[in-house]
Amino acid sequence: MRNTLYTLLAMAALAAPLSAKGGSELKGKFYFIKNCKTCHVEGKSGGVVTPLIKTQAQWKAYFKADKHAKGKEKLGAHTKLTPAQMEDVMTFLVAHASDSPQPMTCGG
Amino acid sequence: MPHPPRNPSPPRLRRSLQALLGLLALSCFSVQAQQASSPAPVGHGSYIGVHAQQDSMQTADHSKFKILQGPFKDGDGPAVTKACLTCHTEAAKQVMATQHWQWRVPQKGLESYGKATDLVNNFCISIRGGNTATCARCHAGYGFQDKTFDFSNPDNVDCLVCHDTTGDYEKEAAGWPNPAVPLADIAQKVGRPTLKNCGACHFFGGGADATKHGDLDDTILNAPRTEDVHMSKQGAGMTCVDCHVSSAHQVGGPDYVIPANKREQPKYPGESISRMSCTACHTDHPHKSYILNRHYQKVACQTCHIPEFARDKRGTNLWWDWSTAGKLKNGRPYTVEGKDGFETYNSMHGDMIWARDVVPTYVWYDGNMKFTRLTDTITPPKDPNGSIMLNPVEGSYTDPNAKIWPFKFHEGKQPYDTVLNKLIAPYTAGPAGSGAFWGDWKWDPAIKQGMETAGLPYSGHYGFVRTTMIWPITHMVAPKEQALSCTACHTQKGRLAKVPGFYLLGRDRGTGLDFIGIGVILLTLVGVAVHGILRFIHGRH
Amino acid sequence: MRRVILYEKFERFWHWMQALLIITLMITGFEVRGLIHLHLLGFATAVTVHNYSALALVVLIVFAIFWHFTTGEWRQYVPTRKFLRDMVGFYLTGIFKGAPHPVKKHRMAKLNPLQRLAYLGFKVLIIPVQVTTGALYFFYPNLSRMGWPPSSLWVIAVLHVIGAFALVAFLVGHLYLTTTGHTPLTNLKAMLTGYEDMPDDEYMDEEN
Repeated sequence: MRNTLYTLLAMAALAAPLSAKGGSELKGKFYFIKNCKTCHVEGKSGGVVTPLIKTQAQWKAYFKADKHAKGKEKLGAHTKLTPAQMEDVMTFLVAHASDSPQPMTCGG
Repeated sequence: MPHPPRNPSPPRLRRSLQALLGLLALSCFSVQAQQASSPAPVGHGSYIGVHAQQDSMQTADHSKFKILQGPFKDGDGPAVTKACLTCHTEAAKQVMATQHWQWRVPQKGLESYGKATDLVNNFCISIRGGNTATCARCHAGYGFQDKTFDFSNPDNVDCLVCHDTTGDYEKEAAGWPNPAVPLADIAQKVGRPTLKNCGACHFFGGGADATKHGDLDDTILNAPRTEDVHMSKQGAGMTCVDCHVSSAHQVGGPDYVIPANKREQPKYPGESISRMSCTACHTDHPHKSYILNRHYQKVACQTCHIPEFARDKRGTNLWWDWSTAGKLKNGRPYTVEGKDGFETYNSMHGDMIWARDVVPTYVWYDGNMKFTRLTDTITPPKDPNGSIMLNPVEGSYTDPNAKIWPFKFHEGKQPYDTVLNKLIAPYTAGPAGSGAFWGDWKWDPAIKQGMETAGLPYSGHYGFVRTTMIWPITHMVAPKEQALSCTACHTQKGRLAKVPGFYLLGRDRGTGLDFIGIGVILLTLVGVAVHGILRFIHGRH
Repeated sequence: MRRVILYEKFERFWHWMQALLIITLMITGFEVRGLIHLHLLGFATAVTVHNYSALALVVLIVFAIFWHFTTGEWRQYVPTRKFLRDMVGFYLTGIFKGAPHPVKKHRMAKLNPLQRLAYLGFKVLIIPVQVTTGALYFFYPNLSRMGWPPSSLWVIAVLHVIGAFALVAFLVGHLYLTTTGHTPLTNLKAMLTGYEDMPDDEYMDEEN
């Protein structure tokens, strides 16, 4: 019984980084707004960034490459986001990417 | 700097004290401004003075309360509320008596008005068809998922949405806090509601920024004085609750209808919580000119002092055509952007028109409106361009309480039951496969399911009908130099060209009378000219 | 020839003040109505000037009424049929043939029968109508509070405008008829200086 539990936990731990759904979409939305959106809005230095500007595959590749500001720095370099939180952000962006099942959100 | 009096004092005394403090603050400020050679603040210094001291008005440092140290579980809003209620024992009870909680008007006779009722609007139509959870992101509570929500559980009151001062609070479906929200941090920094707290919902009425009201959008947070003299930091720097004065968590302001006994103007802020009034601060004779002051008898202040609404970069929605919604490209929803950068089509909503700097429409308004509900029978107009007015206003020239008010007219098309002649609450907000319109893009199941959820009859046949709603304009008051000039109305094709029921100088002149008058003068001229010429000729002889 | 004082100081002051105020009222009134599209003063200023002029005119009229009654000058305006026919005839034919003025002037009867009629009409009809309707117009918000129906403002306005047109027509006729004196400028000069030099046969002696 205990062994089974450990096995399941180990499997889950292994599987988590591989799956895009590993993070929390809701939390990711919050971190995205509070961190990325401070610069990436209309009229600010970063230019507009929304989940819609990339496809799901593009977002995954973007996070895998881990480059920000045209390669000058690592992704999230000037945020205090932990790796787990970064994953939440990716989960959110992937979930609402241009080719996602629900690209647009009400009230967005 | 002296502190404002702690003891409750008569409002008039308190106001004059505040004004005095404000003047002191202003004079200090202007001296500093001269030294620093920065521009002195424009507008009412008294309010700037009051606001500078707001932090010191708090008598409790919430970060010192053990019960607020947390940690709170991710998204566990009710735990925070429980903590708040240990000291603020009556707060939840008070909130639960208000419309912010009930989503229906708590006043007698108006119980059938409110978001949780059968009321219909021109935008997202109704929460009743299964959209409650999505709409309840703006409910001052936790867990408003559907009609099974327990309105009597005080732990579900959301204190933070109104009292967060950090700007970090975010709500999600059914009104739950986003699980990433730092609840303990926010709970330790609570305070008086700011523009941001109210704006989080009221700037976004109709589903997105600036959509519904036209005089409220998030540009107000950084408004220049020209956009809003009251809320601009360069203006009076006021917050919503400076006018919408609250009593026992009942935030001042009209609930759909201004009750007849509250239509007289209050004399100071907070005197009447059912109607905000300019005169509360400005008196009913704020102009130097007697004639301008007298306009107040029949003309609302807003009519001249809000020349246009949506005066910053956000466009407000003027047309929302649900009948064209649901078109797909390659099986996917899409949007079309117009030349001016505003969305002209969105698969979710249909064709739309947005506009900035909109000139209001002027209507006699006595504070009363009649709203249309899902249960009301409508009469679809025979004229294809005809429209059903969903909230006709009452008032006329002869009504002593009515004034000419500025309104935003909003038109759209929405589904209705062509057999029962009733409006429809479709199920719109839901994922693919749920039957919701934004998931499966089909009206038939969305309407059928929506009406079933709402518990209302549906014949199975629907069509679209044009509907109009009007929204009073009262925010975005412009600086006085932008107020309308006399001839904006006192002219033949002016802003009041179509407002009926009275004689308006400069607008109403029977051309027949002028014709006869000028004719008489011309005949006199001709007469004397002929006489004079004859005299001249004979004089020669 | 003899020099006769016809218009005393107050009378001249009253006449020219009244002229100035009425012309101001006319111009501002028509601008407010939108009849002339010249933006002379602008609506707001025109309204203010119109109202203050009206107030000044009312004050002036009160003084003038007092003057008329204390001096007995009101008798100048008592209508008479005597020479009425002759006056009409004079203006229709005689004036072209250089016929003599049929009515002799007298210090206490300086107006001919036609003038008496015209000025009396001006004083008891046009001016009272304009003052009354103007005052009602100005105080209308108070009247509507007392229950006057909205249509009454329309009636007030129409009457005021009819009066205004009548005034303009009067002014045109008045200006022209000033030129029908001994010389075209005789009457104007008299109104400015107060006296008129007239041939003996045009003046009626007190004794007669």
